[in-house]
Amino acid sequence: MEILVCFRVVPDASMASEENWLSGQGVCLGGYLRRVLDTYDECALETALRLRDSLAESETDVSLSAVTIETLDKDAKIYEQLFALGFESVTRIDCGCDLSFSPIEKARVLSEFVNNRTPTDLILAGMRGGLGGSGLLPSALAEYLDLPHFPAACSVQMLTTGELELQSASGSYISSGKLPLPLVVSMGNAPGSLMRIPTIKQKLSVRGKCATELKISAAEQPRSMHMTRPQRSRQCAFIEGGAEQLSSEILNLLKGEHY
Amino acid sequence: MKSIYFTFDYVPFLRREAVKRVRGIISRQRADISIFPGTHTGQELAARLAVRLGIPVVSGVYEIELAGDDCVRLKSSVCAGELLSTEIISPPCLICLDHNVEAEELGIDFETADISKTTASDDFSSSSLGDARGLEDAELIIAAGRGVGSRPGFERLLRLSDSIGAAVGATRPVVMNGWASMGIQIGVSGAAVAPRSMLVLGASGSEAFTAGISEKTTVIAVDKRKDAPIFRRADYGIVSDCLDILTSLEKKTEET
Repeated sequence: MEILVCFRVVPDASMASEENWLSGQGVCLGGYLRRVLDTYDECALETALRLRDSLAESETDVSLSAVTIETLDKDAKIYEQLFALGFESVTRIDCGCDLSFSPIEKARVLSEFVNNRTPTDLILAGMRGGLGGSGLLPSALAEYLDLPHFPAACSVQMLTTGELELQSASGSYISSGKLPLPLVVSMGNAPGSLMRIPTIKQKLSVRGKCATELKISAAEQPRSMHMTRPQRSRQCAFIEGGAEQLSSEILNLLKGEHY
Repeated sequence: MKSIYFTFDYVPFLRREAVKRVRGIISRQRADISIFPGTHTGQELAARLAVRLGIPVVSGVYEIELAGDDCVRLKSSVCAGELLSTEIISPPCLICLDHNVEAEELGIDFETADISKTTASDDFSSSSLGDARGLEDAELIIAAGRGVGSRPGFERLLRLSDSIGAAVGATRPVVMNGWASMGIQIGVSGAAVAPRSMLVLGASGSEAFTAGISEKTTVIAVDKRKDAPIFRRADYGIVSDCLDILTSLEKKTEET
């Protein structure tokens, strides 16, 4: 069974200060911010690992691959981590331009990659599709590949019938059902789905292993987006004091008594 | 300029006939602007049609206004609501609304096309995520971020909330760590809440989380870092380890 995960490594936006966000007209989340896996993509990667583990019991061969679109080679440590966890191949597609806000073109580039490799049974992706994520990428990829797409998955399990048992959470609904492969699944809020950490032995066994670089040209689609920061700031009154005094103040505030 | 807003009931998995049907409606009615709700199904229809029709698609849209005879100015939220974008594009185009926005709020005239019969699928069963509904109606909420440190830390918060009659919410990292159920997640991909008061313990305050909190809610935040973004969204702030505050709150509520 061939499983491919589409992922993005992004600057850790939760560490960004107000001034980190914009420069002139563009997003400027600087290179000094820690780079992390997009949280939904992390779910997709861990889901692929769990499927491999569960299928190992039934002696089904599973091949895991991962692909990302990134012009610069700056996330070698994360790629190495994927190798250590058992991904057989990690491909970095350099399309020569920034497609952060072009999800449809990004999907086309990914579909070109998928069409030129071994037939893939399952494609997993995070439902956001990276930092500039619009949620459109997985559906667009499925459309280019002429495949069905299951969105916002929170649980994915392989059945002995060869079908996938899927569960999704959307708004205030939780839904479940079965679908045959091949399929594109985008991962949503899956509980307990942080990606596992490789052991030192696993890390040492793949030390220095690099992602395969592949060039696929993309049609740059310039969008004249004027960006601003939403003005939602409040005047925060900081309360100081000992723990006992602070807890009294909190309880009073929760009761609606003003500080 | 002709605009059509496509409506449908909730479906977990879109039937592919729906895309064909919507394409037919757009073509027959010569729609300049095709608008979809900001749901997973709306996003899927918009994305698939953008590929089939080769026309631009913009998601997260919360305002549309005419800009001259043949252009529209679109305002949308991007990067999980961290930024707002304004851009001018020429129809035909596809628009997917922000998840918090109803078409009536857009400020343009449109026709409505109900495609529920085409999207509905019998293959999946759906039920309500009960916890989230309780959260959405709560008057008081205590929300946990990664700072609670562990599942036992989160369970202490559950007991505290029980003793003061508050509902419990959580940020996405808390759910992803498996400390809380996803039914109580607050934010862009969880519940939108509007309690009178809300205590946020140990959450740095990403936009994806704070976007789920009403502007009218009084927010009291506790976090170790004084420069944490949560303090820009809070009315009252306490710079402290949230577990110390939790311990103190436990003692206080036991006394009373």
